[in-house]
Amino acid sequence: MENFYTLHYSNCLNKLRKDYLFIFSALTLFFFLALAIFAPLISGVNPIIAKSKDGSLKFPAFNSNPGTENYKWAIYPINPYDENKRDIKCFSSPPGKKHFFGTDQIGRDVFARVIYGTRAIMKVGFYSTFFSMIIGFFIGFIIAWDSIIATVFRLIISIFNTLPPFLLLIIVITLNGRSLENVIIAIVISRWGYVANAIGNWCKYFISMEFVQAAQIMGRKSWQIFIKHLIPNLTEIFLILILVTFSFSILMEVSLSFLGLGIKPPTPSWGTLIAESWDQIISGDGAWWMAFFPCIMLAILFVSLNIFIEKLNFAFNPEKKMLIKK
Amino acid sequence: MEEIKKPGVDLITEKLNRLEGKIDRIYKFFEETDEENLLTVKDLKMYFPVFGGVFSTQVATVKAVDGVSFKVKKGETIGVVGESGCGKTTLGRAIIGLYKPTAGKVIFNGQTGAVDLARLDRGEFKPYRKDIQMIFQDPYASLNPRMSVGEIIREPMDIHNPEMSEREKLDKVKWLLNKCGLREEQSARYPHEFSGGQRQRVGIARALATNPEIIIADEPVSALDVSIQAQVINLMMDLQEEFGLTYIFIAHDLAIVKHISTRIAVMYLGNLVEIGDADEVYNNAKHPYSRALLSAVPQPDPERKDKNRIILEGDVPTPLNKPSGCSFRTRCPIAKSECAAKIPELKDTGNGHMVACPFWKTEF
Ligand SMILES: Nc1ncnc2c1ncn2[C@@H]1O[C@H](COP(=O)(O)OP(=O)(O)OP(=O)(O)O)[C@@H](O)[C@H]1O
Ligand code: SF4
Ligand SMILES: [Mg+2]
Repeated sequence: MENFYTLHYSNCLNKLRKDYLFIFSALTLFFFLALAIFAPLISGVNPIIAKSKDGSLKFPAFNSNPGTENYKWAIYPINPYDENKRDIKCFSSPPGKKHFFGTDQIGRDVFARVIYGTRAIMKVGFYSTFFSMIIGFFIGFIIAWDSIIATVFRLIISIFNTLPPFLLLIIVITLNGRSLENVIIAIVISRWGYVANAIGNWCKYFISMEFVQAAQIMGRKSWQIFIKHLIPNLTEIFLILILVTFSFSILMEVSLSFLGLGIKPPTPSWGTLIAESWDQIISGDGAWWMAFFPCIMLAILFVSLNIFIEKLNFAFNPEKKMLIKK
Repeated sequence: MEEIKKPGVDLITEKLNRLEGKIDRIYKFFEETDEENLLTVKDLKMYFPVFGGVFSTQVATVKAVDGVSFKVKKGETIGVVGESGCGKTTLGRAIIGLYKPTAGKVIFNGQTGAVDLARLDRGEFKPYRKDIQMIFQDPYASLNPRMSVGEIIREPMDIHNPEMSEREKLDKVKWLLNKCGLREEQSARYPHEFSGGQRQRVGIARALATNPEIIIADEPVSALDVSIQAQVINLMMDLQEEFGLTYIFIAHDLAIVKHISTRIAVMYLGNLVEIGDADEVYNNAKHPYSRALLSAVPQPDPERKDKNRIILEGDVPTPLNKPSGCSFRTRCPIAKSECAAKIPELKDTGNGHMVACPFWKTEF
């Protein structure tokens, strides 16, 4: 028997398969994901595959502490620089054969820094989305039913939601200091309320539908209604919330880094790269490539993420209504 | 003859007396419910608190249903009519236990004896849930889009008939689909593949799955095309005949109510203003409100006396702020000063035709 999911989702997929913009955005997102995962294969000082003196095959690029060793032979990444290696012969050199995206004022390879910056963004995106969703999910279910706890939570959420998220982020970072963990914590703190609200409102919407009342009349208990009737109807909303939260986290990470509140240097992040070049551009010895490439990457990632979300949103919903407003 | 007096006789008499008192009370309870009435609604009230202000305190009360009493005999159809917002849906939901009534009794006299549903808590209510079912207004919102029609129809059986085997349940689903004018193989399909009328048939099949005695239908056809309305109504009437069902049929379309009902109850602002045999009420309404309501129906019915259309003045007051006394007095063409003092009770005007207006004989 075909079940609803295969049927409905294959319908959606069929619709999306013909949509070139959607396919393009999906491919771009995959490209960025691959870039983050396989960064050491593209750019780095350690070989991808190497035959060591004792005859065994090694993969030093994926080894966090490969050490220095002489290999019989080795295949190196295309770009033989990692994010912090300095080329002392080229300071602020424009894009060229040796440095695809040029170098910064202290001789670091911009190409390598941009690629490793993807990692930072993805990490922050994944962790903040994961925790925001988990917290938001449970609290969303609590506020879907009327109770005193729900009222308290709703009050807290409305306080959190009225504060500009960025202000919240800055406060948390200033209190806790700059680090990857603190950026994630700050994003989760400013985001869980939004997720909880969305889940709570959608639950409320489904609870008010007559099929839930039919289940109550049959004698179903609340938790059975929750599992049988609510969760299955929330899957798409959940997926889109994940994507929207992911896109929010990335934006926040970049903005924080730009303001110098993000991940601690020298770990590269696109926001930091743009900020560093900003100083240069303002002081007159403009090195346009330092800002240009991270900006382009950021723009491509954002546009494709937004197209992806929008297309999914519409495909799931034949009435052309957005499931989740950003 | 010498009277034999044993110790303890007094005690026994006393106990017997007390028992008699108890039996009396129980008897009275049954008398109220009398055997032939499957459902007795007594002075049912459903108030909703309205919260507001800074601290979310209760600022007002919506008297959605304000003292409704009527009896339902086995096998009959009571049509409940009234304007939008007069509390028809709330009445149905309070009877079926979706809302806990503020006051009043809902005495259900099923096979297991009489019981006041309004007093039961959730767990105690469960065994009676299979006896009272509901058909909903919106054929699109009343079926879970993520369940196949087969799963939807068997869900009540999963809850109330755990003794049935998988095979029996599937067979019953097929049987119910056939009874409701759908095909067996459609049980694997999902609600979005059906038309509104077909979905409503699925809703009816689901309501029938536990062999209920009473079905409350809350505007079951008002969301459907006119041509399909008749099919669904006829299906409901056929099923009633076959299974001896009892309906409480809520609607605002008087022609449909007249067609399906044996009795009609007219509601205004949370109160019943008139109840009686369908033909009586339809052709010979007595309460000023019902007369106005019926005069508004364009009907090519030769039996009906030709009446001029009565146009009511003013708006319906909100149930938040009901007028004192007769709630209809702000719009009633024959309102008198006495009407503000006391809420008129339903009085029998002959043949069980009850009217809640002491001045119903006044012409206007
Ligand atoms: N849960 C609730 N909380 C507060 N007020 C309510 C609630 N449910 C209904 N009401 C109010 O009670 C009154 C009666 O509503 P109800 O839905 O029973 O009317 P109705 O006769 O079914 O109308 P319609 O023909 O539009 O369906 C309305 O004024 C409505 O606003
Ligand atoms: S009681 Fe008075 S106000 Fe109410 S319907 Fe009768 S005449 Fe009109
Ligand atoms: Mg209604």
